[in-house]
Order: sequence, then structure tokens, then C-alpha cells
Amino acid sequence: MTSRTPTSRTPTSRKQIHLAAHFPGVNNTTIWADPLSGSQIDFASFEHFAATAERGKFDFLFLAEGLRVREHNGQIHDLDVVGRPDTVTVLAAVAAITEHLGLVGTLNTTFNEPFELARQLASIELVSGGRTGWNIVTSNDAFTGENFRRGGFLGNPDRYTRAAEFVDVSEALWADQKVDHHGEFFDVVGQLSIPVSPQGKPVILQAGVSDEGRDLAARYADAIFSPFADLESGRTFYADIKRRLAGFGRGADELKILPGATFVLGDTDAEAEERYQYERSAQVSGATALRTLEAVWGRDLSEYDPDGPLPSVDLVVENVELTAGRATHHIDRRGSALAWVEKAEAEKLSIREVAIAKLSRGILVGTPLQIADRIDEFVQTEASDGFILVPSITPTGLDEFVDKVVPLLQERGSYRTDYEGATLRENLFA
Amino acid sequence: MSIEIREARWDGEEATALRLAMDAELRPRYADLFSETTSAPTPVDTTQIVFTLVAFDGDQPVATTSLKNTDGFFEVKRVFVAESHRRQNLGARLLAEVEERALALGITDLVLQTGLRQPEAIALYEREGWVLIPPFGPYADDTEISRCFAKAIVPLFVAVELPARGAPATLVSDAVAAIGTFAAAGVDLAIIGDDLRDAPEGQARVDAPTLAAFAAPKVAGIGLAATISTTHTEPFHLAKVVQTLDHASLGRAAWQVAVSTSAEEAAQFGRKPAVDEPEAWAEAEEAIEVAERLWDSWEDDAEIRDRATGRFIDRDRVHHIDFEGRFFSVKGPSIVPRSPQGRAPIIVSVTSAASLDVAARRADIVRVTADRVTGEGRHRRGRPRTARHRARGRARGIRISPRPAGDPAARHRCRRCRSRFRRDPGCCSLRHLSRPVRAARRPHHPP
Repeated sequence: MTSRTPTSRTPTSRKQIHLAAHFPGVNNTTIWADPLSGSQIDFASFEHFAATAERGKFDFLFLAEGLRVREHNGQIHDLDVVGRPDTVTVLAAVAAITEHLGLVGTLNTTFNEPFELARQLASIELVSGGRTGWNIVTSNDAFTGENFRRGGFLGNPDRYTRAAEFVDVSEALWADQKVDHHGEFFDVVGQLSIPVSPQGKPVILQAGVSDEGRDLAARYADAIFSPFADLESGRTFYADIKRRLAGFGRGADELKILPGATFVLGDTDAEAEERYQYERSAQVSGATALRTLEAVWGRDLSEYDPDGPLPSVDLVVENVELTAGRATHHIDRRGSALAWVEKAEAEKLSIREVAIAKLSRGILVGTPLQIADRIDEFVQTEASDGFILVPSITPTGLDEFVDKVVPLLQERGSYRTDYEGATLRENLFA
Repeated sequence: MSIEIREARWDGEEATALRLAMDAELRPRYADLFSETTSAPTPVDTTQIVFTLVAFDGDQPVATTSLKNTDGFFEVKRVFVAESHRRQNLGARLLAEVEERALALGITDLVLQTGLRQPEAIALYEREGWVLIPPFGPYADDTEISRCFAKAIVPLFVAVELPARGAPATLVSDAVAAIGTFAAAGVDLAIIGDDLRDAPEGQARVDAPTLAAFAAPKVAGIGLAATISTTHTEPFHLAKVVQTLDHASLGRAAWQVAVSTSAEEAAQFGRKPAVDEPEAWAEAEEAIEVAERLWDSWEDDAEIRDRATGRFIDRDRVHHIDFEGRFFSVKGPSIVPRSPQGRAPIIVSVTSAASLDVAARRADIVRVTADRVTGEGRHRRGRPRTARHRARGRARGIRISPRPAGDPAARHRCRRCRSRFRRDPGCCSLRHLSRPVRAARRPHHPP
């Protein structure tokens, strides 16, 4: 472990930034066609990525989860990265090659059972010395259910009730108590026989932004993986969540808000812009643009020219879900389609250009200094407590950020120069 | 008597003389088959001889055999013991010497052909663990007289089980240190036990696959088997756990199948009441089937990264499994791409009649306890027959049992060249076609 003396931190203690590293996932953000793109499955990729994050003193590594290979129009979606490893198993292996980095995995409460999942998380806690986090997600699609005994799915209120009961049972098990729980969703009698971890229990993350999701987060979560990566919506969300905390008897500092953000770095403005244009066009090929549109229009559009104009809103087929296994779904198709067509007409955009505009979210673009300024501004003005960074290249996409942006954040005293504690909780709330 | 086995020339004086004696002894047995029009057998191409062995009693040559490369089949040829030296186990010694030398050359699959009218030879091969196979290669048309055998030779395979429990403070470091010690001592496989029930007072337990995955980057050169129960868990989850352990360990994963029959475990999950052993093992067998289908759901070359068409995978090489069974229905494909071993070895510990059946049909490695090895006699057809076979974990019943579900041809597809039948003799070894014991330390097709 390299260790710098913390002399660069100003005594007037600026609000501290918390950063996390999202392993590149299976949506179009991840550019697999780039010459530098490596395996999304080989352990060496996780090793490199985790080592970079730890070098950059990140709070944690973040893994998403997939429980069914995505499909589009009845066929396996083949345009993006496909396939990923089991979350728990990778985190356990990464624990062996890291010392301080938190290990956060996304794990589903709908298609797992509390005793088993709580035991797995407690086991990672044990092998990692208290560095585990759990991003709680729920699932509402029967598509994923086809891989599990339970099958089917739960309606929105039910899946949050189940998730809450799931967490209650898990917390009792993590306390290494004899649990005798009989609730609406679970009957669990037993004990884990795993000692209480040095951080008490795994850090809890939550990502849902519906009303139920926000309440679940305010009640249980230590951090939120938020989608609001622009200043205005970020501040609104931040204020809302911190307000909800009080309702559950919690202090405003007891929950960190971390928007997900991709980033594009260049040594000059021009370089950054050039890289940005390259990445956007690599992320949204003509075929990806058409499939993105098909998801909104609910029909096959393969006859359309991605560089031509959008199809008419009249062609939208309601109540058809062409894409399955994705986190985002379109509720009001006709409304979405209309917004897309209007944007295209107003700005004279082709199908591909509209798709690029619509798919680009939460992007930090600029020189290292500009990006450091931007991140610091988010944190100091209460639009977030930091970021979960989502690089576009596996596994080296984080390297440049750690080499160039992290030192700038450290210089201004907004970011740690070494880990404060041994556990994830100690570092997240340092 | 002191017998020494030496390497000799196929066409050397001693070997030739012994083979002539063999011909003279066997010819009368098959005389009715050799009409006058039958041409003499084609002479052996000596460039195909891998080695010839001759056993000497002092200066006297008394036995011989050879290993020949017949179009990619490593064939044991002309095993002969002079009449003066029979019933001294010399045939078995010669075969053992062939196996040892073949293994040193990297040859792991042997075949041979003998004849219906040589019952003493057939008895020898059966005793030595050879398995009857359909006539191969040059003998394929001679199903009436030819009797062909195969043997996969595997070096001594040592596995050690360690329980995933111990003193709470040192359980993890102790386990990793122990696995390191095993690896240094040349142990092939560390089997990490698991038990969901309460640990004994003062002890802690840890999830076996988690401990195995944690050990994987820390200890090289040893297989890592995780015990996972199938009774209250999801086959989709456990299949991807084993695949991921295989990825993280670069092809060193194995799965020890377990069942949970206690009321205590049923109450932990609260999904269903406790089930008895036969029911639990029936479910386990279905879970194994699901797991193996998921492991096979991605073909080796599914990831194409074709920039021209923008396709990351060839979706025709990633398959739904559409499994519908008594206990599960699982759509697939796996979320995890094919792992280095494809299918991780499956370990079943025989503790009951139900687990013995599943072991015989499904396992790559069977675990038996010593009292069972010494205490039992004959078993029914299709089950391990002798104590010795059971002790070696390589019972012939396991190799030749037909697998009950799925397309048998597809199950025996070669993982390297993808052919369902023996297409390339240099590639698809008999081990693929006969359900091998895969050594964790030496995956047949390394990544």
C-alpha cells in the first residue's frame, strides 16, 4: 500500500468526494469494438479494474447483475456485450487481491432467498474483512423469472415489500442471531454461524427512484446509485432523499447519494470533444440506433435507414415489449415516440443522431481539470456526495481518470489521499 | 524369479520370436476363419510403432507387447506371455508398464483389439480396468470376432476435503494456508465442504464457493471444488457460481453436489418441507442436468466481436435450454459465457442408495468411504462392481452407463473441434466419448 501523508488536506475540511468504479456493463455504453477493449469475463480484467480503483482510493468496486440474457424481438440481443460472471463469486475472488477497496454487488431480492443470500454476503464480509456492499434490486419481469423456481414476478408495491422483508431478515442473520421469522413473504428459522463483521453488516445500496424505491432507500440504504447526473435534478433528488431520512429517524449524513456517470477525458478541449464524438458514434451504431427506436415504436424497423428521418408516430404499436431483460422500459410509447420525432424535426437529426442524443446520459466531458471542477461542484453544492463512474472501455477505462483526475481532487482537499479505515463503511462515512 | 521389462525394437530378434510363438499358438483357434483365399495380414508399418517392450527372465525373453499409433488411436498390440511364464501376473505388469510409458509421452487414451476366442486375454483386460467398446478404426467392420477395449489412463488423483468451518477469527486464513499446503504437496483437488446447519459451538462456517473463489487467486496449481446443495437453492444461480469459479480459477473449478434433507435446513429457506434422500437426490440429478445444459448453452466461439456487422456474439451459438423437469423449469441460456473447462467436474459422495445411483449416472468423481470399500461385495450391473474400482473412484459403471436424458450424441460432443462423433482422431479423444474423469490439474482442453 502506498501511503501519502495527508498534509495536502486543508484543515477547513471541504466536503469529501466519494468515488466508486462500475465495471463496464452489458449496455451500449461499453465500447467492445475499440482496439483496447478486453474481456468482460476473464478474471484478469477484474483484477486490473479493481487494482486501478484501489490505486485511485475509490470507495468501492461496483458490479451490476444479469439473470437473463437480454432479448430483442424474440431473439438474443447481439449488438452489445453479452454475458457476465456471478456477482458474489467475482467479489470473493477480488477480495483476495485487494486490501481496502469496497466490494459492492447488485443482487436481486425477487429471485433469491434471504438465508442463502445473507449467508453469501456474510461470507464475503468474512473473507474481505468487512468490505462488502449490497446494491438491492427487485425484478418485475416474468422474462427473468423463467430462469427460476419461483417464476413469474411481483407487482411494484409487492416487490418493495418483499425487498424490505428480505433486508429485515438478512440484518437479523448478519447479527448472528437465532432468527425465527414468519412474515408475509418469508419463513426463516435459523442462524448463519458467521461472526458479525467488522463493519457490523454489509453496506446497503439502492437504485430505484420511484416513490417506493426512495422510501426503501431512506429506510435501509447507506448509499443510492442515482440516475441524476445533472446539477439541477441532482440537487432536487438530493434534497428529497435527505428530507425522507428524517422520517425514518436518520440523520442527513447517514446516506450518500452517488449518481452514475460516464466520462470522456482529453488533455485539451479539442481532444476531449474529439474523443467524445468517437465514443458516441462507437456506442450507437446504425443497428443499435434502429433497435433503440424499435423498443420505443414496439415494432420491427429494420427497413429504415439509420441515417434517414424517423418513422411516423402513427406506426407506434402500444403494449408490445420488444426488448426484454433491460432495466429501462417505456411506459408511454406514443408519448416517447412523439418527443423523439419532435426533437429530430427541431434539430434536423437522423435516427442515429436522435438515438445518440437520447442514449447519452450523465456524461462528464473535458480536460482533467474541468472534470475535477465539475465533480467537486456537484459535491460542494449538494447535488451528490460523489459519483459511481462508468468507464466505456473494459478493463482499462478507469486508468486515465485515476492518473489524471484523482490527483487534482486530492490537491484541492476534496478527496482522500489514503483510505481512512479498514472497512467499506468506515471509508464511506469517513 | 526376477523379471526385467526393457524397451526393444519391434523387428528385433526377441520381439519377433515371441510374436511368432503367439501366432503359432493362436492360429489353430481361428483356423476355420482363414480360408485358403484369405491373404496374409498386411505387415505392420514400423514407423507407427511408438515402442515395443520385452520382458526378460535373466537372458530369456518371456513376454512382449507394443504400442502402435494407428491413425491417431494408440493401440496396444500383440500382448504375449510365453507359456512357461503364465499365471505370474506378467501380462498385467506389461500393461502397467505400457500405461506408465504412454502417460509420460502425454498419451492418455489407449485402445486394443483382441478376439472372441481369446477368453484369457479378455479376462485380463477386464481385470485391468479396460472397457469394452465397439470395434474401432481398422476393426470397425469386424463386429463378429473382434473384441475391442479402451482405457483412459489417469495418473493417481488425490483430493483432500477440508470443512468450511473453524475458529471464527482464523477460519479463512487457516483454510487458505491449508489449500496452499495441499498444492505444494501435489494434491490435485481441494474439496471445500459445506453444511448449512448450525456450526458446532464456538465454530463458524463460511459459504464454500465464496471460500473457493477467495482461494483461487491466492493459491495456484490445485483444483478447487465447492460443495453446493441443490435442495432449496436455484440451479440457475449455482450453475453460474461454478462457471464463475471456473473463470476466476482459470479452469480449476469443480462442484461437489450435496443435498439438504434436514428439517433444520428446510426451515432456513421456508420454501418447502424437508424431503427424504431419494427425493432430494432425484432433485439433485435434475439440478445437475440443468447446470450442465447451462454450461453448454454458450458455444466456445459464441463471442465474435464482428465490427463489420456490429455483432458482439453470434446469437446462433448461444442457446436457450428450455428445460422442463419435475422440479424445475429453466429457460436459459446461462448469463455466464462458457468457462475454461466448459463443464466442471461433478463430485458425488456416496452415502446412500439414492446418491450411488446419481453418482453412477452423473459423477466425474465418486467419493466412497473406506468401510464401504472393504465391506461390500458385488453390485448390480451398471454400478461399481468391485471394491478396488470403487476405491479408485473410476468405477466402470460410471463410464459406460448410458445417460438417461438429453441427446447422447450432443452430450459427447468434442469441445475442441465441436464434432459430435469422432471426426479428428488427433483431437477428439475417447475420453470425450466415454465420460472421462477429468483431472482438475490437467484440464483436457486448457484455456
